[in-house]
Order: sequence, then C-alpha cells, then structure tokens
Amino acid sequence: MSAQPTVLVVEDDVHIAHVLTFMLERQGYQVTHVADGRAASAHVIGSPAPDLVLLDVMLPYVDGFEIVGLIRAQDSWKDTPVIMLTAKNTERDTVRALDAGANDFIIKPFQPQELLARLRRFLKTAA
Amino acid sequence: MNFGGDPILAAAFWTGIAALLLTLLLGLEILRLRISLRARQRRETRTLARWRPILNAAIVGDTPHELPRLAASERLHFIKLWVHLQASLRGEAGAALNDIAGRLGLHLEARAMLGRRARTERLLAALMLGHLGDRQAWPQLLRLAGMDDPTLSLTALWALVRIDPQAAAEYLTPLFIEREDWAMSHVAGILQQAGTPVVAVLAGMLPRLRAERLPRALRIAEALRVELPAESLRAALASGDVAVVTAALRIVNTPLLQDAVRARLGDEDWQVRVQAAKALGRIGDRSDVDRLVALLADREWWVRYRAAQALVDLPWLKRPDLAALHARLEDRYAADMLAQVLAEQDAATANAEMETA
Repeated sequence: MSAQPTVLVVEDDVHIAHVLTFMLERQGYQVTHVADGRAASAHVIGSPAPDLVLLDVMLPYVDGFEIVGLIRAQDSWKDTPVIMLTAKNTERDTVRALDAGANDFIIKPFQPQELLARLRRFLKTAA
Repeated sequence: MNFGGDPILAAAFWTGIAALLLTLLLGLEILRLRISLRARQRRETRTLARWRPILNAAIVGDTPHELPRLAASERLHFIKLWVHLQASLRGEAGAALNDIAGRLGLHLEARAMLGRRARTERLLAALMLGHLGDRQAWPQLLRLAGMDDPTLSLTALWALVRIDPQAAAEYLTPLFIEREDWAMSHVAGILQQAGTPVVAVLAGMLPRLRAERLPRALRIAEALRVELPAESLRAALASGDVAVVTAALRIVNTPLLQDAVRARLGDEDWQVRVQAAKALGRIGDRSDVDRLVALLADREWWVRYRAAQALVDLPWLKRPDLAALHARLEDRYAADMLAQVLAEQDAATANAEMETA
C-alpha cells in the first residue's frame, strides 16, 4: 500500500460526493471520484486498483451491483474491499450488494463518523 | 403612410409591423431569461464555493467559531444545500448542520418563507423547520398542512412529525384516516417517523370510528406494521362489513384471536375466507391443519391457493408431513392445489440456492 491510502468514490450526487471527498482527504486518503456507472466501469478496466472502493448502488448508466461484479472479475481488483452505499428501507439491495461481492454496506442517510470507522477497519486489514 | 386608400394593404402592413414588434419583444424576453438564469447560476456557484467548505467541516465535527454573514442573495441556495445534506446525513452531522443554521438565524428566515407565496420557498422552509425541530413554527405548519396542494401539505405534515411526534400523531392520525385522497405510501412514510405514539392513537380511535373509516384505519395499521390490541381487532373481526373484516384479518398477529379468525373461515364472502386462511397460517395451532385442509376444497381458486400456502408455511408441518397429507387428499382440486404450492416452494428454494452459490 502506498503512503497515502487510495479510495475510489463512485457517487452521482454531487453534494454527497463533495462531503465524502472532503471527509476522506481530511483523513489523509487520496481520493478519486467518478460520478456515474459508465465512468466507473471504464476506471475499473483501465486503472490500477485503489486500496478501497466506496460505491453507491443507484448510479446512472450502470448500477453499483454490476460494478462490484466487474471489480470481482478483474484480477488486479478482485481483492479490493468494496463498501456499498444503499438507501434506507431497501433490505433487498443490502442482500444483493453482499451477494454481488461487496465487503460491507452503509445505509443512507449515513453518519460520517460511522462511515470513516468502517473504512478504517478495511484499510487497517489491507495494511 | 400612403396605401393608395387600400384598406387591405394597410391592414397587412400594420399586421407585419405588429408581428415584428412581438418577435423583437419575445427575443428580448428570452435574452432577459437567459441572463437571469446565468446570473442565478453564478450566484449559486459562488454560494456553494463559499459555504460548502464550512458545512463540510461542520459535518465532520469541525464547526468554525465565527461564521461569515449569509448574504440575502445566498440564502435560497444555501438552504437548498443545507436541506439536501440534512436528508443525506444523520447523527452528529445533522446536529452540526442545525447548529450552523441556528447561528445564521435561518429558523427566523424559514418561518418568514412559510408565509410567502413562492411554492419552492415554502417547501424549503417546511423541510428546514422540520430538520431544525422548530416548535414555534407549529401553527404555521399546521396551516400549510391544511392546504389543497398535496406536496405542500404532506411536506408540512412531515415537518410536524419531526418537530413533535406525539402531538403530530394525535393530529395526523385522524386526518390521514379521513383523507382517502392521500396515497397510503406517503401516509405510512410520514407516520412511520412518528413511531410508537401512532399505535396508541390508532388503538384509541378504533372503537370510536365510523364503519366507513375503519378499513382505512386498519390499512394504515397494516402499512405501519403496528400490532393493535387484540380487543380492538376482535370487534372489527366481528363486524358485518366485508371491508372491515378483511382489513382486520390482514393484520391479525396474535393467537388470542384464533377463535375470531376461525369463525370467519366459513364466511359467505370468498375474500374474507382468503384472508382468514392467511391469518390462520400466521396464528393457527395444530388443530387448524384440518380446517385449512377443508379449505383446500373451497369453490374459489384463491381460497384454495391461500389455504395451501398457509399449510406449507406452518412451522410444524415438515415436507414428509405435507407429502403424506397430499397422498391422503381425495378431492382432486385440493390435491392439485397443494401439489402446485409445494412445487412453487421447491422452485423458490432452488432459486435461493442458485443466488447464494
């Protein structure tokens, strides 16, 4: 792992993407943000794996379930921890996210400190 | 202007001039709208650039001691961002956002916005006051809740629930039972936030409700998945109104009402028998197996189907018991129905196993 852990944030809501980027950069992570499923797919295929992926379920063009499947199918990405952001009251999405290969999930609306704690758990394991 | 005394020529000329002027006016109006849109977008960008870092820092627990002044031109854009963040975050982050809004005096601004004519401002104000839990806005929000515009009124109702769940449950529950035009999904979504007070209010209201209001009240209880006291439901199960009985049967969830449910298995109305079979599948005991088996030969397909599902769902009937039961059935329709439901169960199990693999 590099000195600065890298996190890929896939989130289409511009305000939430800003909050996530701000929070993570403040913790010393290097953040790459992509705003839709198509860009995320291209990133997974064409870029080196980050230390962690924070992935929204509902995305334009390609949804989060498909992207997590793509991540697990790439040799260099397949062991990357993926935390999915799912909406409240969608237990089915949560089960689908875990079945698709996500390591954990965060329910929206989320608590920033809880999200950071979950992230740290995976990044410590990776270190 | 000389048209040689020809009135048609004169009319054509002036019509052309008028059309030209109107086109020019229209062009100018489009230009004005575009300039105004651009200016609004620039203001929004400036507002976000100035306030986003402050709100982001507050969200992670780093609220600045001194806040800059919020300009009048920034207020609406700021409130939009604030409301959006409140809807996406919870816990300490929400409290930090409330602190910022309070220090900027936005509870006063939001109360003023509630009284304005612009719909967007009223909606944003109701959302903001709900998140702030502003008790002083209660009378204004009540007035807004009574308006014909469903979006405005439902947003105001949501805010009332956020401010005081107990008081809101007492006010809203009768209103939601009365207003059949409000979609059940919205009603349930709002009442769910009120939580436990709704159960007490609903239970207290049931004995006093007119028969025509009972089905909606029971449907609300079902949508909220609340367990009403057995005595309230016993009266509804004994009703002569099919809509009331079916609505009550859908939410029965206690063995205390087994006899009341069993009494409805032979009801004349097949919809009542359907719901009674389903209810018995949830609350029945071993003695109800024979009753459900009898319903497998019902003249209505849906009754036979639900009775078979209820049998298959009984926890103490294992697969060999069901196979033995199937072998004993003499009625062809009853045997076919049980075989179909068993096959559906096999297919569902196989699908679940495939998904897990």
